[in-house]
Amino acid sequence: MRDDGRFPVAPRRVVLRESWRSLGRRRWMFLPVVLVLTAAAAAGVTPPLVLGAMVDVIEEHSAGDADVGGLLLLGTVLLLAVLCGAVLSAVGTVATTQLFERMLAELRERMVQAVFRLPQARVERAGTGDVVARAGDDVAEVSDAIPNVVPALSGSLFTIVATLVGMTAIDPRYGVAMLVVVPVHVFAVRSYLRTAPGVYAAEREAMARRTRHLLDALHGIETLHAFRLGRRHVGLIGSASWAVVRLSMQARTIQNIFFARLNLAELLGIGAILVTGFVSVASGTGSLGGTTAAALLFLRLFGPINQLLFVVDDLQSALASLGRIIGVVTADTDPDATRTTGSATEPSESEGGLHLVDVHHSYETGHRVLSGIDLTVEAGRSAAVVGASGAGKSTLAGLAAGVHIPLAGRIVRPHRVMLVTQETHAFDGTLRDNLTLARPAATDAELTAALDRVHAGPLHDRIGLDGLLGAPGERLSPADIQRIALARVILADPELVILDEATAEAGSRDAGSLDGAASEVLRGRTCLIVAHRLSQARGADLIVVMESGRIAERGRHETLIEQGGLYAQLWQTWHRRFGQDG
Amino acid sequence: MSRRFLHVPDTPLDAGPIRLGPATTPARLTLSVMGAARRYTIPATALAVTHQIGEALVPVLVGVAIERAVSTGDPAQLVLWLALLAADFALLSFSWRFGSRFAELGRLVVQHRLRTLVAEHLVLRAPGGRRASNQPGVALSLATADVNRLSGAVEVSVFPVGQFAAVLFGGIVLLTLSWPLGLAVLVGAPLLLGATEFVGRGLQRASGDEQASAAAATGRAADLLAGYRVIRGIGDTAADEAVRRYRFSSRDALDRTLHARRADGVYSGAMSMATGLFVAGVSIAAAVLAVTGGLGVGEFITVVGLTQFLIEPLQYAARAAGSGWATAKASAARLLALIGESEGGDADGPSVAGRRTDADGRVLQARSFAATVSHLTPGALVVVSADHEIEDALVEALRVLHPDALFAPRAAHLFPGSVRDNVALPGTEESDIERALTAAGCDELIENLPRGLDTEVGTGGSALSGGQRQRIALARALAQHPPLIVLRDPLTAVDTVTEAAVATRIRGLRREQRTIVITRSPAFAAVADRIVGSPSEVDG
Repeated sequence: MRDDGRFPVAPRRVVLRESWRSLGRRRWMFLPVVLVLTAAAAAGVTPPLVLGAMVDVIEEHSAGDADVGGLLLLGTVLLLAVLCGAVLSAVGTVATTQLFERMLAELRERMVQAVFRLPQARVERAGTGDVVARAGDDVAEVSDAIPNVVPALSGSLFTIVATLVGMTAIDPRYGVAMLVVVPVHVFAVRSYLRTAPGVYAAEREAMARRTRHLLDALHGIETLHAFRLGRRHVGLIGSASWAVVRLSMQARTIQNIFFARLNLAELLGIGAILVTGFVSVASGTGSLGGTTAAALLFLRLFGPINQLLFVVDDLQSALASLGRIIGVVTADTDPDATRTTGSATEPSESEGGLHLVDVHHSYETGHRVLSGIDLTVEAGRSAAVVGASGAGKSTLAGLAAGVHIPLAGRIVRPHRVMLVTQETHAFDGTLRDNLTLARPAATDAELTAALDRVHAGPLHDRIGLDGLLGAPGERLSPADIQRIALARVILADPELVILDEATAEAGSRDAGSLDGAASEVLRGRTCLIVAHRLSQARGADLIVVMESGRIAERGRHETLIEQGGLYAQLWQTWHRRFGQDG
Repeated sequence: MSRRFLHVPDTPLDAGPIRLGPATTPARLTLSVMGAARRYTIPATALAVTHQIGEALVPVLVGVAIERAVSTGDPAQLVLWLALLAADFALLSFSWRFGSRFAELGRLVVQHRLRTLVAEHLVLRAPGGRRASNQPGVALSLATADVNRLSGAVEVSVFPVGQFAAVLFGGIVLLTLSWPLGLAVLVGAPLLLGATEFVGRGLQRASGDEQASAAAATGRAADLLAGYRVIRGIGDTAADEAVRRYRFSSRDALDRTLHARRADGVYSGAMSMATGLFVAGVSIAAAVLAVTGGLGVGEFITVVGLTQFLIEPLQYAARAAGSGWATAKASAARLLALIGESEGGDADGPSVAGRRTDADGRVLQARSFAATVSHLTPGALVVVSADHEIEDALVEALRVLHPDALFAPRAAHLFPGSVRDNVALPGTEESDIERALTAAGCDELIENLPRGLDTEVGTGGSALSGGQRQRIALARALAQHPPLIVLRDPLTAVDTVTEAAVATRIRGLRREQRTIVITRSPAFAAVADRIVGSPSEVDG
């Protein structure tokens, strides 16, 4: 996969905008949450102030006339502050966490939605592996960060502000002394943010590579076993995994330098408070209790400041992951997305027929796949495309179905189009789930009727509509999976059906029966069939013979045979060898 | 010295042994994960203890500084205690810097080892069977999220130990200042830790549920994306329906997560209330002691500062030990379930056993076919015309008779990389590759590709057509030059003319080796030495 096709990573600004947007109606929750967290922070700074007051009480009564009653009153305030602080911060933290969890759920759903709404060619170019990694790894990354980052942000931020307010309240000089730490923190954070994001991005990229290797192995597990390549792939996964380790350690080293600077700030801060206290007590303008309260407040702040700056880290990686998730969500507005749509005019809708006018296409510049294709299939008629592999048949089918948009030319097709390719997939879920994809509201009677029409009665009898398919369920033959796909055509009831060698991977044994099912499905619909057995082409209203991206011959079977051209030659070879098959 | 020890080389560092067998319990696995990083966790723990004691000394030094310098106004004392404070900061900063790196390296080395073990299990086990982990999304979640969480157990043996040491140190300092207060901290702290472990059990259940549900949502996304082209082919209705289904499982995951977070919130709220009340109680008692003359002002400040400092290590030690252990154990249980699943429900699992009478007949028929075709002379090409139903049984029977044969999978799966990367597997001779490409009909195919042999095939071969994929997969199998090859319907997506040409070329290529093709394709029947199966079933 080339890198340029990947989905973009959304910039910070877009991440913020989309995150806010995805909160939807719950945005009003922010205000009460902020109020609760402020109250919790206020309750949190109360204990050091109470303890400072206790020091003054102890100082005044050191002679021995103990004011135990006053102390017990202060003690009661202390206990109440602890109780309120714990309850309020728990409530505030849970509420904030839930807001963010809902936001994440909304975003991951929007991402999957975007993947299914974007032009298909765009997603194919990005690679579905990349999308799976974003839907898995990145969602997990954000989800894991939420319980760490959110309480830190909500709790610590408020505590820091409340502490600064409290300290200035004791004596504005302590507030001023605190300014000593600001330049150190600013320097530490800035140099950290200069080096860390690059390493985190590299780490994330390495994790995505590890996921891709793992998924490649899991998807191709049968091939790995057949060729005894399992060890080699485990090795690939292993070296991708070790690359992550190296980058993670690099990130940790950067982080530790950051923490060393924070320690320096702590030392400077506590020193400044002690010196300020020393000066104010010596000059008689401050009390020992005030110094104690300020020192206790500052000591209490180590935890929240570290916690906050600690999560700058998790926050960075969570934001990187969010950027990757939102990169998909917003990909449709990204100019890069339009690159696959080429310069051709948008196709308009027809009354049931399919018309291609002077269509040209190529996947890479300079390598033309189709040139000058003119093709009309009238409503209700059928056309078959034949030719050697690589002649451009599948590209033609993809263009007709709208999977690709041609570089040049015009395509008119009806509104409801369905494309069945030789690619088979049984979805995890019941047989019913697999069918209702095409018509969610279908009744069981309709489903059964559709299965019967594609000769899937035996399959139905064997597993039933509630039987499980896919990875956790019954393993079906490719022919059976394709029968289900054909039944979906009946359920979806499109005006135009395009079969791109849909019955090919069925295996030779089932070919006849599947072709029969296909013609049952196609009856009365406009259809374009990419045929790889000439028997499929024979009955079509129009046969198109492709050669190196061009239409070499066209006409009905008999006409083409009479012409004695390429088709006649193909037919002769085929008929001589396997005539009985048709 | 530590620099070299902490250096991360290009090649993976070794971890100690990790027990990962069918008889292992989750707790034991978690313990062995912790033990596997011993080489790193022992220095890390020693440094974490130093770090935490350095942190605990800060309030002690501040208390002394207030008493000896601020209250006396002696500048020499101020300078002395500030210098000691600076020395303490140097100690705690240094020990964190290296201790945390040791811990991280230990965690990462073990994580890497675990990931490799899980990947080996997932990749090297026999494919097939009905296992939840056959779903790539579920397997992925095990190999990433669960491995990460389990390896988090390594930190449980480092940081909580350091934090607990701080509590112990603080307790001893408090004991020397006032034995009733010291005793209260030393007895009260472990009681709190015990209570946390008790509360933490409910959290473990919630955490397990949450992970299972998140994995289900990830799996659903992976499955829908694996069938992406099928869904897009059906049209907008199916795309909307797929989105709706994903939304449904995502909402389910959300509900469970919210539930777990609420439990987490109640837990940590209760924790901070308990520890906060504990510290407040100690402070009030110290104040009462101070006014009744048992404690000096500076000592009171030290007691209060130290106890206040101790909240954090107390809370985090309990939490990290409790929930860190619980989360790791939940993931350990899931990984062990994977091992059990791989060893229990293998390929001949319930799907065959469920319909025994049918299956018996097929297995017998398959065995007789296998016996018939297995005495091949070199150079022979035999076509077996078998029902799909007995095909699997036939392949199994052949596998038993010819374990060394190459059984090319029915599905033509390509790996990301170029066409050449896919065909030129390690140990393949260049001349064999050339011949195989020609025999499989890839020569003109490669001419038509934009970059020839170096064309990237895309994820799962998505940049190629089905027929192209099949021929490249066939070339890959033929290039192995195996003495016996078993092909299953290798050319179904290839046009008839090309198919006939390729069948003839394969015949020519394998004049010295044995070839079995399971197919009903007339192209192979036309070049076969022998056709096994009832003649009426063979066309042509």
